[in-house]
Amino acid sequence: MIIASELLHLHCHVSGTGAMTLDSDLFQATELFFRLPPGMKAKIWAKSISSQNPAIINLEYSYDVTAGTPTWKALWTEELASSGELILEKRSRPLVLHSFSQLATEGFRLNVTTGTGDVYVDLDVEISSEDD
Amino acid sequence: MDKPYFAQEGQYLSLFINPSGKSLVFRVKSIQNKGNEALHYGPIPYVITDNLSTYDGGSSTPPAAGVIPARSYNSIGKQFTPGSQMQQSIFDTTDMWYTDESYRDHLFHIIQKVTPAFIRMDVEVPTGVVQSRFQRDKLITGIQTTAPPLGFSRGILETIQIPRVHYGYRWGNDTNVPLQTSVDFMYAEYVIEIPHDPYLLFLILTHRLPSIWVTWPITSLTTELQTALLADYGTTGFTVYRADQQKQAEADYASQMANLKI
Repeated sequence: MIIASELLHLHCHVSGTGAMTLDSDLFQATELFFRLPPGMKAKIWAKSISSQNPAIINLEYSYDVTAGTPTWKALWTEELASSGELILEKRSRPLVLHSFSQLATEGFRLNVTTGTGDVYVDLDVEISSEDD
Repeated sequence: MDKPYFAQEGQYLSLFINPSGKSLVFRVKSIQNKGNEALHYGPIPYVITDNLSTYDGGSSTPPAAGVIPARSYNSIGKQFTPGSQMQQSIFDTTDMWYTDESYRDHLFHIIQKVTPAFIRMDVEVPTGVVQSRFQRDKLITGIQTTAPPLGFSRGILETIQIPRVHYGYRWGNDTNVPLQTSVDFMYAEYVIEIPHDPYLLFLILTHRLPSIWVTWPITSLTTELQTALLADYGTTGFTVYRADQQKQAEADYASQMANLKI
């Protein structure tokens, strides 16, 4: 069985608060969330956060991104107490987000709930087959 | 699918044909591109005028050449058009992998890798014929399926391309993001012959003699495919018998020897 796996570098940005735009060399256009392919999972191996001011950043997950108003829940939160940069790596155990449904309506986004000025998050995300 | 690998010189390659229970058997005499298996093709051959289908019931067009729009797929298979340098020289200017029966002693073993690797992939053999099925012929499967999704692979696809058949390649993007794409091939251009010894064929097809075993990704041996096999090789394949049917097998294989074209 061949395992499909792609490592993406996501460059995410917002000015102020709200959902961050996601960008990558593989993306022809930026998006506000990433919908998981069915049967695959997202493994988040590393995060790099930089902010002009104190900020609270959530990685949020939804079971149904196709809903008119998706419900998002925070699965990871990072608070920068001051402007600066924070680099986090989980090289032995990534944060794993799963797709469950046949239609794979699940997805994730980054959301800044407190902050002013520019906030940047860089993620190393691996999109991988579920049986990996 | 087991990890694909190429045959070596002198090895046998069996191309199993599911719907008939037969197999072609080739001996690899040499490999024309040995040591030079990599071919970077570039983006998948989408153009901005392509009319694509979406997983949500609509249609879409690529925003730029080689970009697969969000939630979209090509319902009709496409060929790989040759690059500008190839265009002047190769056999078919619309399909870089296509040859006719005069190339019957050459066989392409092609491993297609697409970036990003979570793109869906399948192949029509020939173009326009989706071959994957579930429960005999109850359900046509493939990249277009949604609930549940089945009948395709992601990121990598292995094919054996025989002459006289245009293969149609299909891709699907089930994410919400329009994706830049890239296709890289690993391929072997085998120079082949068919063994003319019925006993040798029996040993290979009962797995007593090792061969690279590749299953042709078809569930229906259409008239076009049968015609291509006969024009290319003089046979639609050798029946795969049980290990206790040696006499029957050898008699069957012997009756076909005079018709073989290589």
